Amino acid sequence: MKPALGLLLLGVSLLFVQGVVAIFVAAPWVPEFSMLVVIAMGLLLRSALLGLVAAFALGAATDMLSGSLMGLHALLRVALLLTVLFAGRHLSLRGGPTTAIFAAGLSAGNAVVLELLANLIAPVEGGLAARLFPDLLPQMLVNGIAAPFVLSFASRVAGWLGDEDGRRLLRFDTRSFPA
Amino acid sequence: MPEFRSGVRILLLAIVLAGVALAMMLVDRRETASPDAEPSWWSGLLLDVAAPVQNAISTPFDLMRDAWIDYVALVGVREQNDALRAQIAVLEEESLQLREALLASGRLESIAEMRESYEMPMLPAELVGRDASPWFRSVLLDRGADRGVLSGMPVISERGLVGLVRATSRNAAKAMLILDRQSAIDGAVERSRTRGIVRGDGGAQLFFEFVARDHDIRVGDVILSSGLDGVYPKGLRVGQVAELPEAKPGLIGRAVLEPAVDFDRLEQVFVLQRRGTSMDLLYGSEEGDTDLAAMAPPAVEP
Repeated sequence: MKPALGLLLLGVSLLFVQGVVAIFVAAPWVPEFSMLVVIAMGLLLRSALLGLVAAFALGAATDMLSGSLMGLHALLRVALLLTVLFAGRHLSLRGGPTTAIFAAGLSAGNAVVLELLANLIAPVEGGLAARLFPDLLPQMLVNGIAAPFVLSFASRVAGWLGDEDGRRLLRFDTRSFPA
Repeated sequence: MPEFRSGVRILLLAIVLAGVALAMMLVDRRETASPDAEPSWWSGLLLDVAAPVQNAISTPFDLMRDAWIDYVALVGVREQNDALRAQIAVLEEESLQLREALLASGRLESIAEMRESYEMPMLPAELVGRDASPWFRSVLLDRGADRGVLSGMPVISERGLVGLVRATSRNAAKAMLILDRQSAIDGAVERSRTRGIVRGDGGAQLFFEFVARDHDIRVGDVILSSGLDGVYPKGLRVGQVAELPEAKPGLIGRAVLEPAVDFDRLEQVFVLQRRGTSMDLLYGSEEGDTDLAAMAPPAVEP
């Protein structure tokens, strides 16, 4: 319970930081921290049920601090956590470069689904590719770069708050690459 | 078997949470249609926490930027100052001549009267944060309901229209920028009065959609808010036509606008403290003038 709460608090704190960084840096170049923390939740938390609830709450917090419709990010974060849970069981996600590529890929998927959902609600003229491409590549890049750091920090927070979840820390020992 | 049960439980919870999220989206969509809709208490609480926290986080960044702007970037400012002084002298002379010409034709008095009728209470606000998602365009302001900021109030800067307040808490407000994909403004070309709708697409540009038949739009034309949408006041600068793609067959033409406001450098804004049809500058109501006049920004000395 405590690690899930800790990661949720970490996610909300990083949302505040993200809002400030976006004042000084163009939006596509600001890492989407709440997405990265949800990836950490999926890979670190022992209880998937708690992870789902925490991911939903963090998505709802993102919606409150964003111009999006309430519930849009909450829905996306739940889907993201399910994807991470599935991937975590079938892929070996050890080491910084692996997690970076994984986060960059999820970042692209997240953006495409978000764009499709948002387009259902508030349609915008122009093709999906034309809308996404200018912002998608920088987003993938910054999320990929930030992912190992956020995941490493999240694993420390989770480990510090709960021994049981801390056992899975080894999966995020980015210094041990290649394993 | 236990693993299967656990998988089913995870899936069930995910379906429930997804259902809740969809319900939230539907409710929010309905509430968005009403500008009077206020956010729930938990949403307000998060905004209240976010504004001071983000203000505190941005302080060291601001200091660094100010140091850069005030000291490092001032190399060569003296020459620039001299050139600008000379330019001001020329412009002052020009302005004087224009004023005299207007006085002579008796129009200055009527313009002054019109300007008075345009006045409305404005509350200065600092931008303390931007959208928590890189895919949407909204900002967090450090003034909220305690200072009279309400959902539906337009937000402007000295350069033009910025957006619309979408949610408020006691000490903070969330404003949707006109760049956001959900934004739509009834606009008109300043020169020809051709009307259309200015839309954002979530990127850095705006689009002006107009009836293609008999239109009169050129690259460089300035687009102003028409005030006919009952949301934004009339006469505010929205943008300038940057590109006029070749008309496709159909009724609706589309021009690309460069926004009047530089959203990347936006720091301070003003919240116009009237909303809905009552805020229309042509028919400005008296509501709120007395109490809020003190909050209006001080007049700039010439």
